[in-house]
Amino acid sequence: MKRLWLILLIPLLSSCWDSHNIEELSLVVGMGIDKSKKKNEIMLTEQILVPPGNSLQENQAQLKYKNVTVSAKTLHEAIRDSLLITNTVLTNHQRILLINEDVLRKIPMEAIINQSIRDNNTRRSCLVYLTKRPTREILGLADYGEIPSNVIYELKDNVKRTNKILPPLTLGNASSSLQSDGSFAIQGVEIKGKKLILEGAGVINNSKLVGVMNNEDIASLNWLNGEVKGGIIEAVHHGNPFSVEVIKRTKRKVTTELNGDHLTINVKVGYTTRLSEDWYGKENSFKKSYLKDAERVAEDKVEEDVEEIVWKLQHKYKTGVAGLYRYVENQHPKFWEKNKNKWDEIFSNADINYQVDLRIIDFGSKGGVK
Amino acid sequence: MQTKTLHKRLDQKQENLKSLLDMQDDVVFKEVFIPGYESTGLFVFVNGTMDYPAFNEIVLDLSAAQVETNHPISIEQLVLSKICPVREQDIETYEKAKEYIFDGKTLLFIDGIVTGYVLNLEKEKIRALSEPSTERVVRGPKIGFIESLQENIGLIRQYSSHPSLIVKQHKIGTMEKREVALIYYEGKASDSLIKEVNQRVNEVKATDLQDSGMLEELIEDTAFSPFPQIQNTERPDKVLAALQEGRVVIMMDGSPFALMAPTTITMLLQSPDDYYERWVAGSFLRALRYFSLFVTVFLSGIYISLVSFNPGLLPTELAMTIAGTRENVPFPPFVEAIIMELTIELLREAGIRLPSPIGQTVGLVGGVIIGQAAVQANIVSSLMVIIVSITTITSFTVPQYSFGLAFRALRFGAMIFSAVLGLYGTTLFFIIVISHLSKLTSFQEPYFQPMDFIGKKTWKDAFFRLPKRKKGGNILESSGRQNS
Repeated sequence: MKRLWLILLIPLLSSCWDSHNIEELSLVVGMGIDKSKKKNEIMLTEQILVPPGNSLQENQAQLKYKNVTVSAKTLHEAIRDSLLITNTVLTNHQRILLINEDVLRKIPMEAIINQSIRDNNTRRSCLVYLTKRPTREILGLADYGEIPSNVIYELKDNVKRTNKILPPLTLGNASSSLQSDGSFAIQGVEIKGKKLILEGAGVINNSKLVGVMNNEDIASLNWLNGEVKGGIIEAVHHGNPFSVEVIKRTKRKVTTELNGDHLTINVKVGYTTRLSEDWYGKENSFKKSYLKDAERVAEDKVEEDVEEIVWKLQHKYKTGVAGLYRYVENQHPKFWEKNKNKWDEIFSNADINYQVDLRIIDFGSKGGVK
Repeated sequence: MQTKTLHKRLDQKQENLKSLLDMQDDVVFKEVFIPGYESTGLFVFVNGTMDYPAFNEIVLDLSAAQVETNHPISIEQLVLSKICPVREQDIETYEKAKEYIFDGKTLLFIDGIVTGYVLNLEKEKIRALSEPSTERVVRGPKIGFIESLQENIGLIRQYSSHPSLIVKQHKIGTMEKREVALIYYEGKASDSLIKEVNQRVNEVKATDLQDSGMLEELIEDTAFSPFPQIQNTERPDKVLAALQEGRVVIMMDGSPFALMAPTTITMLLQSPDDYYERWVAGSFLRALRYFSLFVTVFLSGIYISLVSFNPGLLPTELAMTIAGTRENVPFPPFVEAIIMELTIELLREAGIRLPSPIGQTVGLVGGVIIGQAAVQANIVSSLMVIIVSITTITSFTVPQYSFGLAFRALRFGAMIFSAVLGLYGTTLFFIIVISHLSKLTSFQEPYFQPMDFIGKKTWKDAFFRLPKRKKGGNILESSGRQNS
């Protein structure tokens, strides 16, 4: 009996081999992937948090992060190589993954994110962004000592206020999109005036970067996808600009019609809005007809924009970024089964009718001039 | 020692008794002359137990006695009539006499009469009834038990006049005999329970006990458990509630703490003022107590495992903060936690042992100064100090002090498991504690009830204190035990 107790104590003696104290780890918040100068190698930049010291003076002096850059053939090898420079890497807290455009032009995205998806430590909720500049430059931008990864990460919440940002693309989303139709858009990050800004987007098709979009395109794409959660519609009436703010989506209906091999997609959306600014000197928002007119002008503007992005998608990028394939898959499963490999072609030839119904339900605390 | 019958003559008696009690300086011999009969009486008693006013009355009565000429009565009859209210027994031998003297009785011998009379002129030394110091309530009765068993039973009888309230008294001990009383409601307490309690109390008859705490350890189901299997209380209202629920209450002379059996874990987390306050507040406080129990045991363990094993489970900002506070600390979190927990336990112990004005100072000096200095000297991280303080505060919210002690000890177990196996170890420890609790019994009834099965009726008084219904009687009854 006494010996049994000793045997039971052995696990306690052998303990703690997984123990690794938090202050001895490198907490990675962001990663950037660039092309290396060496051939066939990628360059990995890890953004590592530096814990604030105890005293105040120390705090002001030191940066809150450090960047470690290594290059290797595979991402995992690069991460392991970074251990020659810094403490054990912990990617649990990784919030963003930046990928340079040049990398995506050469290497399939599937391969780039492979390690992060496979590894249990990196969260699937980590956000993916595209950069025109080298990611190393973006992650190295010390703006008032703030951590660049956090700045980018926190901008995603503005999606409720502006429609010029794509809904956040998580690693998990990217992976599942790559597994299905392989066509989606990635939000871009840029440096403008020594500040990080979200600008532009890249269009991915079949794991490759096939084109880039500007902010207006992003807004239009959001309208088409039904992803608008807020933001402004700018339009002109009576020769003066006015703006309408989106409040809430009231309906979205997508129907698909098949005529032989020709596809017609009808998208109908409805939003409630608010007249948020009006430069017209003789406005009279108390009159229903005045608001109705404004609604119509705004609707026309949105429909025009959407038409433009549809044209771009169909003729420039030749891919169905909008995720409309799901409706075809659901509504015409047999047709989809037969033609799913030719989806890009079918999408490019399809007729897409977009109809938006805006309703101004509020015009704020000013409605007219006496 | 042989039995020696009393002598007839008083001076012989006195001589013999004195030689028998030669070492005892506090035995007092007092002679009284009874003029009516020209005879002498002798009182023998232990100084200090005597109720002097009652004694004086008897002495006065005896010395004023006159021989009635019409109906002459013998001296024996006279004495018997005078001492009738306090007379307990007659004795024939010196050994008996000695025994009764040290039992606190007063002996009266009359010259010419062999028999000695045992008088009960004892004065019990008791303190006044006061507020129970270990179980305070904001609202509710402010009366507590005292060290006298008879007073305590009187207190219970005062609030419960029902004739089916049974009080059974036993004597326990070899050298000092202590009265132990079993109290229960006939018909409410199950027969098997009464039998079990009786049997266990009888088993410990030959033990000298100073407090009901010692009795508790001897009659509980197993001593190898950190959890008290019998609840103790100083509060009569708690005892009455337990009686109504069909429990047996064990009280001991010399101890203000009553024992209640069987006990369940939910009882230990209930405070009487849960029922005296409104039910929303009562439920909130009760739920809070369960939460604080969990925090007491597991918070330091969870901290250790999150910091040294699973930092990925912390929110990023919190991870940064923790890493920052731990930056220059030389110890791993486990050592750090042990240092701080032990310090706090030491302070707490010192605070209890020292006289109360100094005790508070020690608490303050220890808590504030050591904590602050330890952080500044980078011996421990500031977060660790916060965590240790929280676990200490939460451990005080348990209404039953002994139950709180159990959880304070278990905390160290949780810390060791966490330091060895991380969150997995913490979970493992939780499972071990729960399975131990499920196995535990109190007087052969499950300790963990009513958590052992799911039902609204049994749960509604466990985690929460839901409102009473006017019909259906006492809420305590409905919370009741399944087999009573």
